[in-house]
Amino acid sequence: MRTLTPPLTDDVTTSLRVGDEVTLDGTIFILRDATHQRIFEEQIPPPPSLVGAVVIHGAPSFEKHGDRYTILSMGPTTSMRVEKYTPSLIEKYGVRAVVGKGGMGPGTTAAMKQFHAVYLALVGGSSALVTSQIEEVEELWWPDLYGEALWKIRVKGLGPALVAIDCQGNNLFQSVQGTALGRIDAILSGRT
Amino acid sequence: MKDGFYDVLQKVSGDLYYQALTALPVDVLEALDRAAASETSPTGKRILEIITQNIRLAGEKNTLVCQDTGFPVYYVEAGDVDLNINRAFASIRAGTAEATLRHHLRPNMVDPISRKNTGDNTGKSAPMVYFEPNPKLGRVVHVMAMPKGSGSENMSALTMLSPAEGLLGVKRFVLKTVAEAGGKGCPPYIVGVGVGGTFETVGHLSKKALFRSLRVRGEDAAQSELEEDLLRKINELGLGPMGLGGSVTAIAVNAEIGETHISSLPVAVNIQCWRGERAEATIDEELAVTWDEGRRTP
Repeated sequence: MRTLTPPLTDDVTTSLRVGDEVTLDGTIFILRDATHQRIFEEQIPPPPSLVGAVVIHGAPSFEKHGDRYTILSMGPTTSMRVEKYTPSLIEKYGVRAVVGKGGMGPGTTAAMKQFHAVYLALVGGSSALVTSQIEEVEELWWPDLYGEALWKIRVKGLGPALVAIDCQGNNLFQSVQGTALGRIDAILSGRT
Repeated sequence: MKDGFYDVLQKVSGDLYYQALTALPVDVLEALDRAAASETSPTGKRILEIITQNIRLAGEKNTLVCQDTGFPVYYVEAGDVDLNINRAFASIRAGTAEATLRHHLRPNMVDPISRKNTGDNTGKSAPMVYFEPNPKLGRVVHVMAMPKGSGSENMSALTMLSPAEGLLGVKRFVLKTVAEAGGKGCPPYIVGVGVGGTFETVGHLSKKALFRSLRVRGEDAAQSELEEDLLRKINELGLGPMGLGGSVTAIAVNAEIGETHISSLPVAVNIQCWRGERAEATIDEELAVTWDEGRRTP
């Protein structure tokens, strides 16, 4: 199993293929619905540089003591909800890996092929595990968005995650789902 | 119910909310074990292993299995007792808010238009509490909590078919709904199916189906045959754990069927993720609480 350490370069992302199992070490950013809306609807650029960055879709529950934030629970959320923003996140801000659950659509798949980025699927619902792999909150922007703020966290051994969209244009979720949808008539007529 | 019942109900409601988020029902654990044994895809097997590891870790640390603290839904079945539903509702609502604040649970309830958060998981329509008479229950009140996760809830669907589309149309709609959910709702799924009733009843039947233990099949032959046939067919879709391919797409199908109008055939599919969050307890006339099997007593 490979360990990826952000920021990610092209040689790393282009060497990954769907089905590879990876873990992550180092600094990553947490983004969710409201964080994307702030960047793309309110058009406020993210304060930190996201060049080569790994972003994860989620929103932690947390405690705050003074200026320090402690994450109590955090796990991957459904990535498709931010499909419309993700191609721009990759093209305009330089994000090179998106971590989430459930996969993403054709727009993201095309942007990942063009700009050499990948999608890493975590096991949805595995928050106890993911939370245990978070070492520290390094910085936070936009606290008015509560859990949906822009979080910079340090992780150790985050995963395992499966490469589900690669730079070749392969999308494992879409191929599995396409097969399922195409099988319905045969299943109903007992031809399977 | 005697004095003090509504205080006990408040405490039980809050405890059930937290219990459902930190430990899985025994019947769901059993079904996940069977899934791990039968899954044929190596990726699928690996995902089921990670799911098991995650459940064990949540138990050891007494922490949340999944970060989604859900939409609080309660089912209260009253046996042969006098129950004041205004007071019961107020107790469950207070229990929900109290558990949210005590355990730092993520507050999920927002106004759908302004997206403003109510802060404690209660509001005008939260918690959602269903009261149901159950004359067979005896002199007790049975409370079930389901903090329903949104990833799977968002993949649910409802349709009003024509009677001409028949049982085949019902099955087609269920298969299409599951296939379109893909990996987005965290499979392997528990699929709640409602058939019949009116527009809102069929949705309710599909949710009620999810409150039933996976050990229990439908009472009538039509119901249990539909459940078994749909489970077999859903698993032929090949979505597998997390939608990344495999032989276990669902661990159970629970169906509830109700009468409908001569010109209607409503179908609802309420998708539930592998966590199958659910916890239940019974309060008797002496205010003794019995928690369901295999759970830590809060």
